[in-house]
Amino acid sequence: MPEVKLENLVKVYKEIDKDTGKIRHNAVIDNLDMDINDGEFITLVGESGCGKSTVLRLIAGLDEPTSGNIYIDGKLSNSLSPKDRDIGMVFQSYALFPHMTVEANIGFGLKIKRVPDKEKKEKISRILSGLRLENEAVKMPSMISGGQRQRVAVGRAMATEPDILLMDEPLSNLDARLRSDMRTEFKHLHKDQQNTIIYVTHDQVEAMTLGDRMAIMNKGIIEQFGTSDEIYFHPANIFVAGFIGEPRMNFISGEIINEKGVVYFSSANLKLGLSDLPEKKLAQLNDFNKKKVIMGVRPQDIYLYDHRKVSLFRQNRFKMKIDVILPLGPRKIIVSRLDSPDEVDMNFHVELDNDIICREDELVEFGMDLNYVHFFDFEDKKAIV
Amino acid sequence: MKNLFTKNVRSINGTNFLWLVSLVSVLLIIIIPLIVLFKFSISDNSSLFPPVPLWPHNPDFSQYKELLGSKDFIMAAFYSLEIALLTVLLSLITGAPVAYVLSRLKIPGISIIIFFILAIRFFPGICSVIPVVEFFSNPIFNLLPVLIKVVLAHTLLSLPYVIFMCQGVFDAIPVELEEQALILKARRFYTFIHVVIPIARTGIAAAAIYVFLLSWNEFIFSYFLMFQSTTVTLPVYLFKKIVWTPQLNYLAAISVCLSVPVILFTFIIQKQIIMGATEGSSK
Repeated sequence: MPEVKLENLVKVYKEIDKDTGKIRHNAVIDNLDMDINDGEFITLVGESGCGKSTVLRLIAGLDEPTSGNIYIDGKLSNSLSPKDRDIGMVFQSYALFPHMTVEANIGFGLKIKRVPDKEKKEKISRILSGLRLENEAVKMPSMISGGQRQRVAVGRAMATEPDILLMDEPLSNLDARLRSDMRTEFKHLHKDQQNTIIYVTHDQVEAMTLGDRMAIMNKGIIEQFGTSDEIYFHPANIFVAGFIGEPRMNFISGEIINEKGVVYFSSANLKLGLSDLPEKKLAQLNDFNKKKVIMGVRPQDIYLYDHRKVSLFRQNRFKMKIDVILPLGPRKIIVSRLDSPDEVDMNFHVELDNDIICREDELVEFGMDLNYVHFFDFEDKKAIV
Repeated sequence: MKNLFTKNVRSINGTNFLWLVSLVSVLLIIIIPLIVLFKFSISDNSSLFPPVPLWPHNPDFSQYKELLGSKDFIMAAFYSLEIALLTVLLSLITGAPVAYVLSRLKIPGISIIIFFILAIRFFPGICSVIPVVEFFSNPIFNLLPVLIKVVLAHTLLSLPYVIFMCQGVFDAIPVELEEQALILKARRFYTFIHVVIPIARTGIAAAAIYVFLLSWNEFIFSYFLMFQSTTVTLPVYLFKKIVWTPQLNYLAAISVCLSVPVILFTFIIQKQIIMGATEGSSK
C-alpha cells in the first residue's frame, strides 16, 4: 500500500491583485497526482515558486488542499491536524527554538509525547552522538554553527521516529562542502531508518543523488516522476530535459525531412542523418516528416571528431567555431554560438576532457552519438520516443 | 560576534567632536532637572528662597526622614506599587493573547480593529475619565474595591499600548517555529506558553516597563476614582500635599521617591531584555 497518495490535488491561494485591487485566484498546485511508496526517498525539485514547498506543507497538514485528496497510510487525511499525522519536518530555516538548548530542542517532541525521563535521555544522547553533537548538548542554537543547527533540526525531526520525514530545502543554507557531506549523511540515515522521506530542493544534484525517485515540478504540476536515470536519459519533455543536467541540454530547432528514403534532421546550423537510429525511433520520427521538431543533445554526449575515431558515421558530424572555453579542472566546457535567431538558447555547449586540445576561434568538427540525441515535438514540447 | 572583540578605537576628529557635544547637551537636558529636583530635596530651609545657592548651604536628608517616617506616604507608595504591578499583570494577561491573535490571523480589515483598540487614547485623559468614572459609579460596579477600580482603569489605558507593542513582537517571531511545534504534536496553547512567550519576553518586558510607568505616574483617573478614598496613590498623594502649599524641599523629596521605583523596575526588566537574545532560531 502506498504510504502517501496525492490525488487530483489542487491548492489555490487567494491574493489581492496590486494593480486592480481585485481578489485573484492563484493555483499553486494544479491537479497533481503522486504515489509514494513506504520507505521511499522522494525528492521534489523545481524552480522557486513551482509549488514544491506547498506540496510538502499539504502533506504535513500545515495547509489544507482546495480540492483533491491526500491519503497517508491509506487514510484520507485532508483536514487532519499535523498533530495527528505521524510526520517529522525539517524547515529550510531549521526553526530551532532559540530559547532552548540543543538537547531540549531534540527532546521537545519526546517531552510532548510524555516519554519517560530515562528513555528520553537515552534517546537524546543516542541522537546527539549519531549526529556528532555530543559537545553541543547544552549550548543554545545561537552558539553553534550553521551545519550543526541543521543537524539539530534533523535530530529533532527524527527523535519521535516519524514514519514520514519531510524536508524543505534543508541544505540550502550550507556551504558547498558541508552540503555534500550532509547528502551522504542523509543517504546513510535513510538506509538505517528506512522511513519515507520527502525532500524538497531546488538543487538538481541533490535531487538526483538522494532520491530513489525524483519529481520535477513546474508551475504546480509534475513534469516527470521517476528514477534519476529515467529522468536524465529519457526526459519526458523539453522542460525536464533542460532542467536536469549541467550545463543544460543544447536545443536546436529544425525539421525532419525525408530525402530519398533517408531521414535527416535539418536546421540552419546543421544537418544530421538519422539512419543509424533504431528502427522504431526512426519510424516515429518519420511521422514528423516536414514538421518542426526540437533536437536536444547534452554537452557530455558531443565529442571532438578526431577523438572518436570509430563508430561515428560521417553524417553525425557538424562543424562549429569555438567561441569561448571554460576550464573546469578535469573537464572543460566549449561554448559556440548558433547563428539562427529563433533558438531557445544561442549558446551551444560541449563538455570535453581537459586534455583535448582546442583553441578559441578555431573551427572544429564535432560528432555525436545518435543514441543520446533526443527529439521533441515542437508543438507540445513532449519527447518523441 | 567578532565585532564584540575587535573594538573600534578612533581618534577624536571634528565630526566626532560635534557628535560628542550634541550627546552631552542632550544628556544635560535630561539630567539637569533631576539634579535640580534632588538638590531641592536635600536643601535646608534657608537655601529655598532667593538668592537660591547653586548647592544648599547645609544639605541634609531630613525631608526624607520625615517622609519615610510618615505612615500616609508609605501607604501611598505601597498602594501605587500594588496597583502598578497588578495593572502590568492584568494588561499583559489580557493584551498579549489579543496581540497574538491579531498578529497571526490574516484577516482583511485588521487595521480597522487596531484603530478601535487605540481609540481610547485619541481623547485627552480628562475627557475619557468621565465615562470611566460614570461606569464605576453604577450601583453594581460601585461595590468593587477602589484598588480594583483603579487597576481596571489603568488596564484600560495601557491595553492599547500592550496590544500594539506585543503585536509587533509576535509579528517578528517566525510562524515556522509554531508550525514546527505543531508537527512535534504540541497543542496550540502549549506552543504559545512554551515557545512564543519565552521568545517574545524581550518585547513583552518592554511593554511591561511601559505599563508600569503609565500606571505609576497616572494621575487623572486615579484622582477621580479615589476621590473619597483614604489610601491614595503617590501622584494623588503629591497633589493633595501641593494643595496645602508645603515647602519646596518636601515636595521635591516626594518627587524623588516617586521616581526611584521607576528606575529600579526599569533596571530589573532591562536585564530580561538583554538576556532575551532570539538569534539562532534560524540561519
